[in-house]
Amino acid sequence: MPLLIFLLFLMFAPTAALADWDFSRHSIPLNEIQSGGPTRDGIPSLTNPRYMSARGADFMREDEQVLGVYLGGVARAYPTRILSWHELVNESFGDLPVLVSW
Amino acid sequence: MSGLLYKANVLMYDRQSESLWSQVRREAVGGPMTGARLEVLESTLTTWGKWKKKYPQTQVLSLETGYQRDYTRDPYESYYESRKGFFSFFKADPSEEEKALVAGIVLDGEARAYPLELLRKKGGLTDTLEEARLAISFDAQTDRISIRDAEGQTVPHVILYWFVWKGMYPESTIFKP
Repeated sequence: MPLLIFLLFLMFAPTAALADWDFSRHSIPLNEIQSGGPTRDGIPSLTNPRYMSARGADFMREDEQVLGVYLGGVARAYPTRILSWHELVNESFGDLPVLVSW
Repeated sequence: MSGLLYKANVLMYDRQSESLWSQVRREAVGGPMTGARLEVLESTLTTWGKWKKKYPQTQVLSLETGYQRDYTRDPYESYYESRKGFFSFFKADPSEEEKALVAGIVLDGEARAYPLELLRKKGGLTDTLEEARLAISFDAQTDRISIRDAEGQTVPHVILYWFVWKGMYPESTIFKP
């Protein structure tokens, strides 16, 4: 029985997830969209996050991986161990809206 | 994130229109914004030490994100090491590593990928794609990758696994020396 329930879940879960979205317009075949596991916002993005200066960042190791962005005279580093938990950072560099995606 | 995937790659959504955007294709593929494109800006995948040396005034994302997560570890650590991709439906050529990191570009509809390992080893490559001569450079001091055409115009690239790129752009070729 648990297996059957699991199979039913696999069959219906992707459809259920698709039904939450407006596909009145789309450019890809809908049958090629899969459910990724986590639900909507199951992986929560960050919006206008806080920063520290390099000097104050004692938690950072020299050899750890970061995604670095330098734009309009501003440099920011995004440690990938934080990005992996959020995948998206809604950002701005000056007036420019920027999405950091991992 | 929407929780949906297309070709082994996430679909993002925007809060204003709730359209769905493909991360790798960089365009809206579902909802009111379908067809709208995102501009790719330059970013560098490197180490904290190298980044800080290049930009001593840099800011770094704080651990105070408003969420309780174990930021001491990267949840994908073992995935980075593994040779098998999540949701991979693409069978890599035996001579290719499906999880090789590549810099992917699309130029006039033609997709091409440059393995990072090769770039690191060579420091730079030249290539011809759609009659455009391209210079691909890799700076070991900063890990910065730059791809430019003969006019010096930057061709934007994204760094990702080969199987994800090939899944999204099945016609893509991979640079071989």
